[in-house]
Amino acid sequence: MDKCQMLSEWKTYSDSTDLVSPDEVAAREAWESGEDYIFAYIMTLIM
Amino acid sequence: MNPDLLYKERTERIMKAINLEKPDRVPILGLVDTWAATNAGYTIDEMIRDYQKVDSAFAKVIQDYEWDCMKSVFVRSPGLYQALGTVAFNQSEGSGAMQHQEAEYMLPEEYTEFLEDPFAFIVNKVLPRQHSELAKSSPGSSLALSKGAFHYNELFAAIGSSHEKWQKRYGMPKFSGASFNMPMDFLMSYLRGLRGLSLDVRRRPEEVAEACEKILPLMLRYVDACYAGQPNDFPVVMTWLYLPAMLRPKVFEKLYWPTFKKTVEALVAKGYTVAMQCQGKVDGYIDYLQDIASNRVVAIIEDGDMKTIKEKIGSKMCIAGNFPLQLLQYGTENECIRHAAKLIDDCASGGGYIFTTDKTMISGNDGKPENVAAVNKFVMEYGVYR
Repeated sequence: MDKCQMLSEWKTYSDSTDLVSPDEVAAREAWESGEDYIFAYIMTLIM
Repeated sequence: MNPDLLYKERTERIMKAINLEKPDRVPILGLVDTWAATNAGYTIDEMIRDYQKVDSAFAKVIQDYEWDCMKSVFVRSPGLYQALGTVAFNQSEGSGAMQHQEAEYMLPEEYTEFLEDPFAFIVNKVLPRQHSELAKSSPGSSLALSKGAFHYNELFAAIGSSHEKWQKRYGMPKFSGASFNMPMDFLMSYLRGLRGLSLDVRRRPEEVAEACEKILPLMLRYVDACYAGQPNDFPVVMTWLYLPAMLRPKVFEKLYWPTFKKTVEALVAKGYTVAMQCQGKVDGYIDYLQDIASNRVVAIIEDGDMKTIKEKIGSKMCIAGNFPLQLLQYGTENECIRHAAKLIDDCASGGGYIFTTDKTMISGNDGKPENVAAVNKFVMEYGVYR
């Protein structure tokens, strides 16, 4: 995952302190769920 | 009957068949997807946009017909794909079902880059090609991924809640706990497309073989990540074998079979039961299946002579399937019952057999309700082991 620029940017975005909308909160929750969650989400997007 | 007892009784019936034993009667598996919408009086589009309707439509399928097990709720979320600007999946204008658009999401000259780091390649190259919003720079792509995650969470929370209801309210087990693709099927479906892969097997077979080896651990991890809890023998993990019926025997043996066998064996070794929905005719590769000796494998057959299949692999793995959706939709009740009786006569002897359809029920034309009811009722009576 370290080599995935898009995911790094998304991680940075999810770390922002002023996230309030449901979409934005989902971003933070996603990263807090851990790498398996991110992996499953990404693979589900292409399958 | 009390839902807990019913759940236990149904699960035991299915598990005995999977373990190649004789249950009290032939279990009936419902391979039902969006056919549930039509059965409930919704269009597929109406149902997949409203998870309450998904829940009630599947509950109606469970209550309307006799089953021992239902595949699982599978719905693609239009909201998720809208948020991502998806081009790889779109909605059929006719049926409203979500369909995968096969294309070359990986170019032939990109094998080397894929082989270096498959997951990074998928994120960096495939995702932006499949989803236009992810081709934008951040924060556009980050926002799209976040919106997508919101819909993804919402979808899987709804599916989880429906499955819980199946068990607690109706005593209905779900058959599938996660799904995956065999490595070469994944390579074809989501990276190279059928046309591209057909050229690759002639022009760059070594790279195809290597790519399959690299996809294998991704699939194992995907199953682990999607399966609720520790690996278990039930619910099963499901896959759809697309390519084997299309490949020449030599190509199957050289390119498909090695990672096919390894994937099944690795999943079984982890503790899972693997159910393979074998699309098309299995005649060309049925003998290979004899090498996957396990009471943790279910072969759901679409096309083939079931008597021969039972003879060839019936002592090695549980067999299922082969009741034609076309007959279920267009046949008379008597024709359907005669066919069900023949399947049971050919396959049920000694156990290790699950009654189900040849394909998953997706469109409203995949089975006339009165035929589904009559066939399932008949199997419950005729399929009793004495």
